Amino acid sequence: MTFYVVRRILQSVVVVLVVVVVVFALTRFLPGGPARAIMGPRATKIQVQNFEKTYGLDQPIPVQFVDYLAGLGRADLGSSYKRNQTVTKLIGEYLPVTLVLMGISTALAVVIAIPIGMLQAWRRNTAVDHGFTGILFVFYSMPVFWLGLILITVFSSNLGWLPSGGPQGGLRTYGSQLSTLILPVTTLALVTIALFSRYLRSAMIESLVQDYVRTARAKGASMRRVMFRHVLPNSLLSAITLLGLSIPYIFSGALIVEELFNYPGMGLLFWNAAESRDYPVVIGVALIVALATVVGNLLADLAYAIADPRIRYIGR
Amino acid sequence: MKRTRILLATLALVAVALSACESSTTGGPSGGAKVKGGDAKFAMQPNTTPNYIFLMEPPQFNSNIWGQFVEPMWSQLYSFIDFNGNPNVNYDRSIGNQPTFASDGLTATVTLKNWSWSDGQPITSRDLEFWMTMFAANKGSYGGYVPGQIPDNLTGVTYPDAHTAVFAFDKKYDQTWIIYNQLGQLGVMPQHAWDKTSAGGAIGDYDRSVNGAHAVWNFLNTEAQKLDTYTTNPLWQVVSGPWKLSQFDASTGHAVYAPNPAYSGPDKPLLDQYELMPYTTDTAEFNALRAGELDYGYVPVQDLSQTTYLQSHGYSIKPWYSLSNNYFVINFTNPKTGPLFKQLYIRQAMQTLVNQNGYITNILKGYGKPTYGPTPVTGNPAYVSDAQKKDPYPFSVDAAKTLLTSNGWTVNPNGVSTCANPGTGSGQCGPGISAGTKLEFKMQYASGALVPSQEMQAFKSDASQVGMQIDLAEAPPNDVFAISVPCDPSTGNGCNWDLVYWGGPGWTYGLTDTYPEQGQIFLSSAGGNAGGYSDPTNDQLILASWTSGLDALHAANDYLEKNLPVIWMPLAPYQISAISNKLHVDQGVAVIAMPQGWYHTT
Amino acid sequence: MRRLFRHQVGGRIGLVAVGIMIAFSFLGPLLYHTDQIHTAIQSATLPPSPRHLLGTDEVGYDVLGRLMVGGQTSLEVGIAAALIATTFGMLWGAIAGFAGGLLDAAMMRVVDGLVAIPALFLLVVLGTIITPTVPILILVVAAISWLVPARLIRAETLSLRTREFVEAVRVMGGGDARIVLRHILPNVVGTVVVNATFQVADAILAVAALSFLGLGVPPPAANWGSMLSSGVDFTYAGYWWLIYPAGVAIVITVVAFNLVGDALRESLDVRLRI
Repeated sequence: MTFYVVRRILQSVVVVLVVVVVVFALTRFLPGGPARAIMGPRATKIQVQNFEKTYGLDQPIPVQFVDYLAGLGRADLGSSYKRNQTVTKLIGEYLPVTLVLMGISTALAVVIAIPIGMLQAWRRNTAVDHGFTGILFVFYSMPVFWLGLILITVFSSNLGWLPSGGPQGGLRTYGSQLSTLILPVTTLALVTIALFSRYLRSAMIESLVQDYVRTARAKGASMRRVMFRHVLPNSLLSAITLLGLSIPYIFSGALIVEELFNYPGMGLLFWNAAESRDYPVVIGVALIVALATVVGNLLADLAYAIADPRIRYIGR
Repeated sequence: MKRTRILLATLALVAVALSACESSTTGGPSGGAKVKGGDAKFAMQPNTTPNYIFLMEPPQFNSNIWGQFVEPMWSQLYSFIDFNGNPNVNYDRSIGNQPTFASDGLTATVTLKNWSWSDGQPITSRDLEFWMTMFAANKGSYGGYVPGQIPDNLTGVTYPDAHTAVFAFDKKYDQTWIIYNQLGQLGVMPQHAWDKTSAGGAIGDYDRSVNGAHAVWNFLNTEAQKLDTYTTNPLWQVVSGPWKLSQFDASTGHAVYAPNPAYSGPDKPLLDQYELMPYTTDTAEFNALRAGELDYGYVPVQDLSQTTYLQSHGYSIKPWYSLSNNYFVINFTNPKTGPLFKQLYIRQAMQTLVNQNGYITNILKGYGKPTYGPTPVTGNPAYVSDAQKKDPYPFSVDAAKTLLTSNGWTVNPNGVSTCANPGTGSGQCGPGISAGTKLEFKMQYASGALVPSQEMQAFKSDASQVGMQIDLAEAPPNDVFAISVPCDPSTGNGCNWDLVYWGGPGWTYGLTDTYPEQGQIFLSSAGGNAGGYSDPTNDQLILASWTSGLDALHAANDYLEKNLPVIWMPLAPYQISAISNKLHVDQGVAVIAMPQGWYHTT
Repeated sequence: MRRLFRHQVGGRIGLVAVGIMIAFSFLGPLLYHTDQIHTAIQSATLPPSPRHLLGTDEVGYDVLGRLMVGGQTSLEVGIAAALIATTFGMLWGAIAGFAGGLLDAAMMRVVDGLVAIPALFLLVVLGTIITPTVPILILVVAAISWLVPARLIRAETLSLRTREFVEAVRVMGGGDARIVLRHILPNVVGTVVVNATFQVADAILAVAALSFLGLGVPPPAANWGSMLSSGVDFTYAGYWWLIYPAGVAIVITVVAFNLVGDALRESLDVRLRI
């Protein structure tokens, strides 16, 4: 078991490194470099040179990369060119915000999708099942940003019930602006529910046709007992893997939602930094996102391995 | 001496009175009575927040928001924003009095008023010297430095007494140019509080040596990176302007100012508090405006249909123009398309395909001014020559067609025109243009805003009528700055772009060129010369405008109007302001808010 | 083909819808002529009228006409990207699954690694470097989509590898390549086809998202996603024709492909059980 864990951790480290290398390389190949991009058209040659010297951009690229890695060792992710703050500080401010958005949306999605999946499996091929399938299908096929756009148009612009922007400021201020969380969370949650339900429904139906379930039914167990004692626990295992696999997808969804609702989280930070060629922030955020995804996957895999001993041996 | 001072003061008052009459962009009806006190909330531009407080800002922090942030707290040597916010020198609210010139025109003597810092210490020539030494030693890191101009053109500065400084220039320059563009760049810094190299260190004369000045600059720059300490760090509490920073939230950018009780100038604040409100996008700001949360906000172009709503809820709509022109840049150094751009008739054809009036009416919804030449039409009218009041290249597809056909091109409307008659004679395409060369250019413009996208699509459409094919590509705003540099054959940088549009404005005059000479933009060696435009006549004319007065300025700018170093585009307002009817505000083209002149009315 | 969907109403609806969208996009412009090249800024953002059935956008293009032209790009890119992704993923997965051992481990680690990266983040950076053209857009969408078919096909190959007929071919002297190409691949066709259908749906969504973020093909090329990105600016202006139609087009098309995919999967399952 330990061998499996160690191997998975090593794999994760490699993946994160690869991500950092790729993003680093991408930023270094942007034509023109960041100096003039950040300083604007008034920049003179001597100012460009000074900028590049200050941020080590006049070194050869491999040297820059080594410097960056050395910085990582000190937990120093560099300093934002545009915002005059360290990347660690920026991430420290914005990451919790994104985690709140993703966390609430995912929690809602799980809490809603599992019962729906169970209901659909229980009553499969009835009107209820088809009804849910139909609605969820539409949500599944909708672009995230369009869903958000419609919610804004209807609830904010037309009805005026809810604000159209996400909460501004740090987490401390959320208490006074809870209504601003509603639309962004709803948008992200709806698409996540649609994603989860599709999978959960088929996973639960598959469980229902397993031999042991038929045996239990033959022995007189009620449908409800079967659902809660057999189908649900087994489906939870699939759900965990699904969660782990979905993290990149939810992150991407969060990026779009943050951009649409002007919700100052990691996604928006990344977006603005990429647009303004603020390299250190771009690489820093990519690193954190990769780390989070990899850790999430790792935890999901480990949880599954602990629950299902067969997996540990197959992974050979 | 006393008479001269009275005369000057009277002149200043007259100037103020005159500009108050001329100024047509005051906000709010002046019916109500003046109320002292109150708070004003001013919306910052989207996604720009204050992030630097030190006065010698590095270029990447040199932006409008930096100006908005520090202007209330520290006054420059000369205030180029008058009481109405217009870029006219205002000696009344300046630390320096009007300079006097020696008869040979080589030296300017500046005397300082008896004003104080907020901690009670007097503002003296030592503070001005502190500025000059730091400037000279750190100019490579400072966003306000222009190579070849101050301090490079000084032969020396002396400080005969605590309230006098004498500047000696290397040659005789035009006096308005010296006051506006040279002395106008200078500030004063509290030497008694800032001249140190570490937080716990003692104050010394470190600035008087080059290494010491570097050390002081590094220390102050490092302190400026601690955004959380802006309201607590004793360094930043020593101010000379009307306001002091009382609250600052580094993560959101929200800033609150309270009046500086020790302010020596004449324009003491009437309000109790002034706030800079941050918004991540203009939609967020517009929401706040609609909800009545702002006293002074702006209407994004795409929401102009909502102005009636705002007007019925107590706001007035007033466009706020900056001291700018607008253009898109041409790459004269591109190995492939450079020869085409070097032909005046091609540039003229392009300019006649820009439908400035059409863009202003349909895209800017009437909120725009056409640009015919480099002189900003929003500034002092004396600088706009008669020639620049007229359009030398009005929109005309036929004119563009004629220009091309009479210079050896076969015009293919909705296709691509080609050069049919190559050569250097009259009626031929021109040097470096071979037979069959296509009239095709790539235009990269800033993404993320509605107006540039609409303008460029319309331009492409109009240009296609004479077979000028424009291939559009969007790039993030910062990228378009990085792309538009002259071609460097050794690295290949800057050799691939044809046309770039930053989205406006083209060039904003201000800190270093309130007197609108084009030395920073269109001189062959200028840092702002993105396209590598190089014309010897132009160079001569620009240098002459530094030394030879208003006629020389007109001549230089007229030449550029006709010679098209760039393609002129209409100027949109800095913002379309929505101002509460209860707040009296003046909007000047320096586009820096002057809240000490604001007041509430009943 | 018709026989497959005898029991799946959804599948038939999906097929019809796909047909309608294809006809709308490619045949529509022949019936409803609009100029999608020249702008007309004096008639920008007009509401629907007899002249412009769905109004005009911010530079004066007819919205309905633009929907049609946009549909062409969206469908072309979607289908092409899905085909490339599925083919590449299928080959990758089959080779990995069949080879086993170190090669399999290496190939699948690559897939695992790439899955862990939220593609959108990389694409945002990429988008600031290159200006997309239609071929580049196809490649980019394919590049983020091939991972799922790779995993699927590998799993299938793993199970097929141990079947008797593979042993038989080997005994008869057939080489690995022959086995993969002539025996394994044809047996995974069912899964591949189902997956490809879903890939088209996902690809259309991906193209829309990319265009919305400004990483799509520049104007005057039309695309459903980029039509929506301009629509965002006008939520308060009440220009509903810039917000709903393009989204509805996307949803109809994606739902249609998903319905077809679902139906295919169900019918193939039934067959396999027999």
